[in-house]
This record gives sequence, structure tokens and C-alpha cells, in this order.
Amino acid sequence: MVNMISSITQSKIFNNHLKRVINDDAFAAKTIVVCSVMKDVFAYSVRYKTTMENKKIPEKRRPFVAAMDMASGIVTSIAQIVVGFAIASPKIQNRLWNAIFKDAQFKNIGIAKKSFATILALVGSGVITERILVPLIATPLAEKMEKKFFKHSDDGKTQTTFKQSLHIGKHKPAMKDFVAKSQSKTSAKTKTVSTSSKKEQKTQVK
Amino acid sequence: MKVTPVKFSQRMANSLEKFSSQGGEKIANYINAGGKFAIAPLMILYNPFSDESKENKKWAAIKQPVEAVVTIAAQIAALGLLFKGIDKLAAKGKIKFKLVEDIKKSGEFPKQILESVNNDKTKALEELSKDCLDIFKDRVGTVLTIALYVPILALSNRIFPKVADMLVKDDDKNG
Repeated sequence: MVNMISSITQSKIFNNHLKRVINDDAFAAKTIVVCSVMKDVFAYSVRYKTTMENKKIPEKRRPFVAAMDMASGIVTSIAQIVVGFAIASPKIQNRLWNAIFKDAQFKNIGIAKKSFATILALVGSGVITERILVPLIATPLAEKMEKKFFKHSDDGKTQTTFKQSLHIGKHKPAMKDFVAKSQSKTSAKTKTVSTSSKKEQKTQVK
Repeated sequence: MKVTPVKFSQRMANSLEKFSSQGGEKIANYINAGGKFAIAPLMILYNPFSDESKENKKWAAIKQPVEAVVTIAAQIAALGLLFKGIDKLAAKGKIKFKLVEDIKKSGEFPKQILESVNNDKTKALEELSKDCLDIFKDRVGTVLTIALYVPILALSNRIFPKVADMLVKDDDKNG
């Protein structure tokens, strides 16, 4: 365990990351936003999968709940990055800092400024974007996805039609195909080479 | 005796400093859970751009606060244990950062840290070690939070249909 930790704490990549986070408040805030998006992408993927498999949710409710999970995941990751990065920019940070904490006194202004940048980026991306803007966009998107990508099978079970819609899974690539393709390519090349050499021979005879 | 009221900006500053001591990962989790608990269900229920049935919306909306409560409870418990363990190892001197060792040798401290401790190099070294440890805890915390989502979501998926079933009147329960 200690060896594993020291391999991280002594690594060049992690120490460069530490240096940047300490020196650059905007970078620190952006890192937290990226971490938050990473968590969301993973969580929404798991949510979608568990919702689809959750038999406790009635079949007629399941497509919309699952579509809502998926639509929220897609919209939230894009919107959070855009809004979070915009708010984390030093220009916006300085303006807001001066507006709120003009006459305030701090024990450690450096830490307070860093936390302010982080909290603001998180509130902007995680609350305003994820909780207000995303549901507004994701709910109608989920309705469209529910109609397009979800259907009930003959036995009443919820199924997705992603594969058919995105034309995935119609032809599974196999090693044989790659070998056959490369062989046909090489044989075609040798044919063209041999025909060109024959032509050259003919011109020489002439 | 006249009591002068504390200014709004100073109150905000005090709460910001208190909140800062929690660390980035915990702050992110609190903000996420708060938004999910209080705002997300309202936005799903009262979305003007949606024509989905009220019952379907209620089901999707109830999922949000249930998940928020389960998630934050599990995250506080797990991250608390993890951070305690990391702090213990650090106190024993088993966690050493290359950056701190390099700066100890060179004496070139980051500007922000030096300014925050009035150019006191002994305090600056303590501050730097603390900052490095906090950042390390945040990153490890993110990994743990991601790993926790699988059991958290499995648990909330078990609880939320029961809560939704109690709160949403549904004539055709079999779907």
C-alpha cells in the first residue's frame, strides 16, 4: 500500500500536476470540474445500465427513466465542461471576488481565493448547468430518445434499438476478414506490377 | 455596549474559509448532492418543454433526492475513513512528495504560498506539504467516489422504486 502511494507521490506526472494546481487557481478549479464530469459520465452510464435491468421499475416507466439517465449524461458532460471552464477563467473570478469580498478580511487569502474559484466553478457547472439547464434540455431529448431508441418486445420487456439505429452489430469484424482483405490487396498489387512489367517488356520487344 | 453588525462580505468570507477546510472533493460532493436533492426533481417535474406524462416525470423526479441521500451518506462515510487513513500515514512520515523534497533543497517556494505566510520559509514548507497532501486526497477521493457509484446506485435503485411506488398513484402497476 505504502509502495503504491509512493509510486504516485514520487512520479513526475503527479508532481507536475501538484505544481500547476498550487500555482494556478484557474487550473485547480478546472481540474475539479473535469473530475466532477468524469464522475458524472461514469455514474450516468451505471445508472442507465442498472435502470434498464431494474425489474422493480414498471416496464412502462422504464424507457423514460433510462432515456432520462442517458440524455442527462450526454448533455451534462458537454455543458458542465463549457460552463465550468468559462467560470474558472481569471477575469470572471476577479470580478466576482471584488464584488463579493471587497472589504472582507481573510486569515489566508490564497486558500480562500482557490476555494472560491473551485466553489464557483462547481456551482456554475454542477448546480446551474447540471441541475437547471441540463434537465431543461435532457427531458425533451429523453422523450425523443425514448421514442426512437426504446421499444417493448413481444413479451413486454424493455429493449433498446441502438444497434439497429446506429447500424452496429450487423457485421462483426473477424480476423479472417482482415487476412482476406490484406491478401486481396497484395494480390491486386502484384497483378498491377506484373501487368506493368509485361507492358514494359512488350515495348522493349517493339 | 454597542454591537457592530458583521458585514455581509465578512460573513461570506468566514463561511468560505470554513468551507475551504473541507477539501475540494468533499465540497464537490456536497454541492452535487445538494443540487440533486433540491433542484433536479423540480426541474424534471415542472419542465415547460416536456410533454411526458405526469406519472413518468414523478418517477424520474423521485429518483433524484433518494439517490442524493444514499450517495452523500456513503461518500461522507467512505471518504472520511480514507482521508483518516491517509492522514495517519502522512503523520508517520510514510507519504512524501517529490515536489516538497525538491523545494526543500532548492528553497524556491511557490509565490502564492510564500505570500500567504508572510515569507516565513518554515511555515511555507508546512503549508506546501499540507497543500500537496490535500490535492493527493482529492484525487484519490475522486477515484474512490467513482468506484463507490456501483454499490451506491445499486442500493438507491432498490430503494427508489419503493419510495416512488408509495408516492405515485399508479393504476396499472405491472406496466
